Amino acid sequence: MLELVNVYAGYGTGVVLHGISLRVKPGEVVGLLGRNGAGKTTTLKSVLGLARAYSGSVKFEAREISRWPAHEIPRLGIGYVPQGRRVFPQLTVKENLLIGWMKASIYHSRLDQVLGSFPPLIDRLDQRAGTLSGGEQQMVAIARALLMQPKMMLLDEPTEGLMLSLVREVERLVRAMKEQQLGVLLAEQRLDTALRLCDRIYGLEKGTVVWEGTPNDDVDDLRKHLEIRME
Amino acid sequence: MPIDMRKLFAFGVVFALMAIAPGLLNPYQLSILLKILIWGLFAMSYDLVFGYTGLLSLGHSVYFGLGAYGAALMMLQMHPGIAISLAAGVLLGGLAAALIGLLAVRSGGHGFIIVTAVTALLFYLLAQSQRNVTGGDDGLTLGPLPLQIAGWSAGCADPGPAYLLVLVVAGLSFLLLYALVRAPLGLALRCVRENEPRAQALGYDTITLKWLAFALSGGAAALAGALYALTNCHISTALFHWLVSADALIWTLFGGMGTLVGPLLGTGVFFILREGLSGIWQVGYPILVGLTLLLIARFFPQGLLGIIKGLGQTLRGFSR
Repeated sequence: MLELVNVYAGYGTGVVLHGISLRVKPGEVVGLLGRNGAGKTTTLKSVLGLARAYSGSVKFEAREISRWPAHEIPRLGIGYVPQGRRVFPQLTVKENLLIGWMKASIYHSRLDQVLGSFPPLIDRLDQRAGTLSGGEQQMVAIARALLMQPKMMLLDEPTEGLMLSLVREVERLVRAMKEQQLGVLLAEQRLDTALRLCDRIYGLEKGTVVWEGTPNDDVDDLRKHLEIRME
Repeated sequence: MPIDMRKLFAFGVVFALMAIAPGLLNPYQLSILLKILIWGLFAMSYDLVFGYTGLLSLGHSVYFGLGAYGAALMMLQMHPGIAISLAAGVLLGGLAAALIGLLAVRSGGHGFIIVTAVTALLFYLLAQSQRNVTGGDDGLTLGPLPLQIAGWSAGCADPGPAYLLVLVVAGLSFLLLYALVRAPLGLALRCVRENEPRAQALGYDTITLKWLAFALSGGAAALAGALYALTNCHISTALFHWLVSADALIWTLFGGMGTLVGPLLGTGVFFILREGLSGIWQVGYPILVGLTLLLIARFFPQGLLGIIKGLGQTLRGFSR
């Protein structure tokens, strides 16, 4: 469903990705592992049109989208949970969710149905999203993306800075996406999380793919190669 | 989004109070209230672009000025009546905003400020140079508004029924703007303000959204300008000056940006403060006004509306 072939991408004149190739099938969770600056975020942004692809091809459901304007790409059914400050902080939780829902390709899902997966949010709908804890903000960002009814999700380090119980919660949500046959591209620094969730893993370094395999392969090589922290 | 009945009720009360103001105030006081309504509408139009969309425009004087001249020239040349004159002003200013907006919203950040400031300068110089049309610094003089309600006619010193006309138009405009910012469009604009790339990643065409806000805001500013021209009896090219845009910026910050009511409140308090202070200290009142603004900006970044909301919360805390 998503296929990148030999993508060179970056911002302005700075090239960050040097020929990335990868693919994601429906119902497949694919991990992008690498240290800070390896190009994980830029890979996701090159799919979304937020980083410029200078050459190579980005295809979603057989359509070439590397030249599309950024705002038209989510309409194809690509949800995105960005890294770091993930919500619109001055907007309430409800408004943050509505902003995703307004762009749903099909309006059949109801707000409360999606909220059923996020019990802590139900009491906080009128609270400013910026005042939520990091974990709750992450829940808002994931719920917002799910309300768009995507066929595919791009998750940028969704467990970063979360306590262990919330990491488990995020892992549960990713598995639920897989069950619903969503393709998931997951940028991650935690090897243990990636090994538990992913069907396949790409190891990135300096904007190139240096390792490719499944969690059943010998990952010691990947670990050494990328010096990823085991937590 | 559902309409907040309490807010609608509050609007009704304020509107009713303002509607009986002509019976309570002298003509001079009434003319100040009229100015507050017009410039308040201008500040609200500014808030749509600045407070909601996060675009700092220094060029909104252009649309106010075009609205004023469009309405005035129509009235002076064709004598078509009030509604058509107002429409001419709105059309001229709104169209200009739609065209200039195409360029302005594509230049992000500082570029936007520069483009809008340059358009203000350009239109100011253009208006100055076309003396035979605009009257230059001397401006154009219009007669009193051709409006009579129950034998009560509008004059230049005593606005009378002109005030009621402005009250109705400004009230309707407020409701329209309020509906706009409460609609999904308003929510999308606030997302653009907070984080434009993120809004794009959610599928929002942020350039078109910004352009829409700019054009609508320009149209509302032009309406304020047209009302000004028809009720003030005199307009000049000074209306195009970028400092007029800066006034709207100050009133918006003063009252509370991104709230719509705030800029109107800010304009009102600012005008009343200026009247009061100029009576006490003729020469130094701009200093006092400036100082007050500085204090509010430093200690109450949410503006007057923020102070009022804070007080309300404190009071509720005490009553518990």
